[in-house]
Amino acid sequence: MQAVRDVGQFTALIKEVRAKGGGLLTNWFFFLGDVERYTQQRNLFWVAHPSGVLFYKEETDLLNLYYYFAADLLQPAALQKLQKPVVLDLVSAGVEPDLAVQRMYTYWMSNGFVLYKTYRRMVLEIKEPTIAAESSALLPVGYRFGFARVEHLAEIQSLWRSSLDSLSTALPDQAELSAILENQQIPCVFAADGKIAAALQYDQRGNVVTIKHVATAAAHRRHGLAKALRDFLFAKEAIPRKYLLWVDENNLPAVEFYKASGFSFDGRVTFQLLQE
Amino acid sequence: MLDKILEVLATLRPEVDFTENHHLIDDGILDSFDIVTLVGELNDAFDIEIGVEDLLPENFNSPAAMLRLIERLQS
Repeated sequence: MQAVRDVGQFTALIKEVRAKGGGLLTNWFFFLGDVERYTQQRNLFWVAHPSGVLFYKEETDLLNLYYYFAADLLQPAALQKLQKPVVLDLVSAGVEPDLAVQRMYTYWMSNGFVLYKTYRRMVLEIKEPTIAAESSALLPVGYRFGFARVEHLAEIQSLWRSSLDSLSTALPDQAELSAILENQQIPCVFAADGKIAAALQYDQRGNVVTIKHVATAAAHRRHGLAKALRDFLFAKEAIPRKYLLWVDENNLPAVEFYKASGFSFDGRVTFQLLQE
Repeated sequence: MLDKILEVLATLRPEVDFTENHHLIDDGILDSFDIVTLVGELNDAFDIEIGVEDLLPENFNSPAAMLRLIERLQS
């Protein structure tokens, strides 16, 4: 496995696969700006494969796998074991995967991968204000809203680690998390002792807000803090806007929570495969 | 040709009014998941090969931008 040097090398590797004919099979199209950033951070790697080329994007706890295969050359090959778990996401437009996704799902399941989790995307569009902004009345006595700052970095990392599945969720590394905190993208509920009781990380592009992580510290569960954070976020942003999130379809309490919040499934499904 | 692009986009995301949106990538209306499907659909519909060097947000921000990309690839 070698680091991708630059965008030029990345494009050359894919062009070589494309030149073999039969169309390109992939689970992801990187925008070149993202590739440039990853190569500067030295966290994008490649390895040759009998069917084409594999790219690995290194995250804190895992490697995300992206394949670029020549459709005519698809052939079995076991992948080398790497130091971190390897996760492959296959995204389908519907619950019943289309033929291309079905083909690659079968391929990877026959080549050392197992289905780890199935995620479904949920969406909520808000066109009119529904909740008064920053209402502390939504919180139980002793709690207050605020934004996590850089000095809360270790606390946020610890909360994500204790509450989220780090194999399923690419947790931000220290530099990424610092930038997220500086941008005030993690609204929190603080307990009376000043510690973070619950936190929510989101990302915004235009009027689309993607909810990335939501977690409540074990000692503060069953106080409605996640619901309060949700309302805090809804009240914070301009209208109209759209909220997106991915939820593990087997995490029924989470699915019910989001449904009760007005979210509905939009049909998009991710089959998350894990190298055995 | 623009109508055909709009048709492809409508199949992909029926809930979006593509005639009104000109920042489809910048505003997060189309994401990388959509691009995987969209590139394949445009390749098939227009008999072109969108190359990795064409994968720039500005080529997918609006139906007009996609039209320019397709016309360039066809020429």
